[in-house]
Amino acid sequence: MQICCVKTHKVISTENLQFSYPNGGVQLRFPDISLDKGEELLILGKSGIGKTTLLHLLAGLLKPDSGFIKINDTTTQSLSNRKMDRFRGENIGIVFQRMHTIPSLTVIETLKLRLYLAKKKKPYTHLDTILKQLNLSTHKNHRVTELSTGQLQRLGIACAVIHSPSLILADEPTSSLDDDHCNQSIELLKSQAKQSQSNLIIITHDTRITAAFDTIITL
Amino acid sequence: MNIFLLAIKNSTSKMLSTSLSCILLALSIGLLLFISQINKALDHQLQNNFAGIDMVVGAKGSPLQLVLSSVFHIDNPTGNITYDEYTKLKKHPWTKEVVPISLGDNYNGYRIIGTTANFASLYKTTLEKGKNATNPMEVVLGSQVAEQSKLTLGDKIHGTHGLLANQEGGKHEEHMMIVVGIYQSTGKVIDRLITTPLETIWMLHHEDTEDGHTDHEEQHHDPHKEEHHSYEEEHHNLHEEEHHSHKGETHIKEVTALLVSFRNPRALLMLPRHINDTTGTMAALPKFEMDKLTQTTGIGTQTIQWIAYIILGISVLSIFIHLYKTIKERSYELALMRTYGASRWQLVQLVGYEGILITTLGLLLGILCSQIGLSIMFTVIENQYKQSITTIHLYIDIIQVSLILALVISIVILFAMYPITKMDISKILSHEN
Repeated sequence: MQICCVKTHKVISTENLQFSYPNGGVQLRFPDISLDKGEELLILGKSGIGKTTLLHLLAGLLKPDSGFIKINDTTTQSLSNRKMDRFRGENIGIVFQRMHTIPSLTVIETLKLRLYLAKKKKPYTHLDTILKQLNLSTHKNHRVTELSTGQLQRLGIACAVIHSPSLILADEPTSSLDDDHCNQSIELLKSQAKQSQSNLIIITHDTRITAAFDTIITL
Repeated sequence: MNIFLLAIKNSTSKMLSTSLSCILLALSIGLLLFISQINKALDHQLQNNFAGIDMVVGAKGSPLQLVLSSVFHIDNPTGNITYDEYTKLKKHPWTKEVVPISLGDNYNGYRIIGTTANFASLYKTTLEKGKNATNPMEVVLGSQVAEQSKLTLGDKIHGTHGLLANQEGGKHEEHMMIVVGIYQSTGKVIDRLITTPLETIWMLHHEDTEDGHTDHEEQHHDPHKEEHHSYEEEHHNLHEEEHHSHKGETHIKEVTALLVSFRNPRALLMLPRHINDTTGTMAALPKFEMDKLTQTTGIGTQTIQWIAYIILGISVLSIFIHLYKTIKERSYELALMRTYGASRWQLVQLVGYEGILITTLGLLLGILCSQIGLSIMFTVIENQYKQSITTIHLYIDIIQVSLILALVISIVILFAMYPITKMDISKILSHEN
């Protein structure tokens, strides 16, 4: 009971998370995470240690074998698939290592679809603001297939923050970037997270960015 | 932005694959509708023109030719028979009605039929204006003749020897026929016929034969063409020669065929055989002859129908491949949408809409194609055979095809969507490359 009350203060908390893939393999155990509103976290780990697995667990794309994940007082692993889809859409934004897109859409259409699927109604001026901040305004009506890697990365960030989620998860957002772009992108992520008052969790093996974070968990 | 819009954008971004599926589908739907409508229209045209004629009696020859020439007015007659046959058959207790017809002339390709007043009642038509032709050289026009030739009451026309327009037959220049009536439109063969009393034909032709120099007959006696003459034609010649031999003595009144309706079903079994065995004339049953004919031509239309079904099968398969490929190739895209908050159902909708879009477009295009094809075909038929045919219950065909298509396509969409339900987003997303 007491534990429960302590947990409610936290926006995001996990406890005793364990997961193993169905085709055998080792049992993965993850350290507990507990973040207050607006807090940032960097999770460092080498390849193959289960970083992406942890991110997918947090995003509700995988379900843990044991332990629990709480986001905004919702124990996500107990949600049905449909409710989880909805919850994810509304409360979580994910930045992927490489931004994959829907090639038939333009930049602005991608963001509109993102909002539609998250079931959030935001004025389109809001979209313009974000595009401006991410330096994508001039490419607003370009097909996503015409964008450069850097632009795609920024679009990925826009997609993750546009609906002001409680939690932004970033999976290796800097691994394919040079030092300059690496810092730029982390700054962008941090500023966008702050703006939408979201918690930011970055999962990476890239030690270049450790300096930018106060809280670091090493797997 | 919503799922439907996304489906449209996805379809248009893969124009080649989408349009291939569409065109294949349109082709098969178009062919199916076209064949079905042509079949129905011709069948309707046939049924319509039987007009209660149970039996046709004419000169010996091909029974099919006799039926075509005297019931549908599209072939040459087999020859002539004497007027006596008419009076004999008319008295027969089993016949309800016997209408004699006499062919041989046309006006701009519209056949001039020498007959009695009963002819119009066979086709259940009445005069729209004017009066019945009771005197020789008076004619009553079918509605289509009047409309197409812009003729009205009191107009005078020249008949031309032969049955086709512009044939090198002699014009009956000296004999003017006067239009005294116009029949109401029936959609049957009478619409494109010009009817006149039997006496008109007799008058025209007796004078011709007395001259003995019409082109028509010269043609028959052309020695170069002799070897090509069919049995019927030879028979016709014999008949005519016979007629010539008589002509000096008395004018033997002749008719081309007798249209008979029975009083009694027994007649159907007995009368044709009786006539064929005991008289010099031939009896043919229109329904029987046409059934034989459609059985033969049916193979052709059936083949086309099968081809259409095969194309339909291929097009359905191409839609399946299109959708299945979409799902396979875009698994990352679909997984991404799931992380954006899309439910499985929304992804299913996305793919379903794409399938429905292609199908609907193909269907509409197919209907359009069949309509264009049919209107071209009907115009050709109308110009060449002076038969006005129209589509019959087209909407039933369209509904039928649409229902079949809807069923097939929903099954296809279901199969193609199966992978979505089995999709492991986490796995797809972690294997980004």
